Amino acid sequence: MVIVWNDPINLMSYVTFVLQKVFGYAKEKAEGMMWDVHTKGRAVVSNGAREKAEMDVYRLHEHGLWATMQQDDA
Amino acid sequence: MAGRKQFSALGDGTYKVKLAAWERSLLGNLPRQLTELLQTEDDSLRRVFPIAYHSPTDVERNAEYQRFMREELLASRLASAEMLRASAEKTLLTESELLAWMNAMNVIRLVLGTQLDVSEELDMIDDDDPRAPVFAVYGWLGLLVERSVDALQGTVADNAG
Repeated sequence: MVIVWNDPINLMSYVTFVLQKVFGYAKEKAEGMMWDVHTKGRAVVSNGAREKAEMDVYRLHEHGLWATMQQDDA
Repeated sequence: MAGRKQFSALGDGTYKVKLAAWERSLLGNLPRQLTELLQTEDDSLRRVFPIAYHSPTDVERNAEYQRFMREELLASRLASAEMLRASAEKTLLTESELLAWMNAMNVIRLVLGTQLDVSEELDMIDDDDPRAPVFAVYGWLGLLVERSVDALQGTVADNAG
């Protein structure tokens, strides 16, 4: 799964926008994830096999978000 | 100034830009500095080229990710920076230009924020602090990123509506 971590630099509106843009999420869903990132320190933003996860992480990195991936069963 | 709209969507895929001359001059110059910095191994780039695996045991996978993706990420960063530099004086931007502006401005914020060691607690700096000028640029770029996001709202899916 792909996780976005809280960071003090990226703006909340920007994080929401990137989640909408990269994953096509509705604003409400993206905002909920952003809020989890902000208040809980992290949020799972996508799931999938390693190749898809790496591409998702890359696109989030391209937009400057702090994203990592880990295996669901790890 | 507070209510000023720096970027407005005209509805035909183009965006009107309203910025002062000093703002355009800074937006033309910052990408040059970023481009130079990107070719180095400077520690302030750690947020620009982040790790992909959180677990410390995934050292090997991280190295693999860096090997394949760092070059692509660098190329993407350089392309956005160059587009911002080249279009800094334009009064009308295409969607891809404004997206590149947003990306490049955010990357510059990541570098400046890392250099300033910005934290959730640090959101103000005294005027006589030596970091004040850089912090002012950091804050100004934040405003422009926010305004570009506002202008680009119409380009992302919103199935909730």
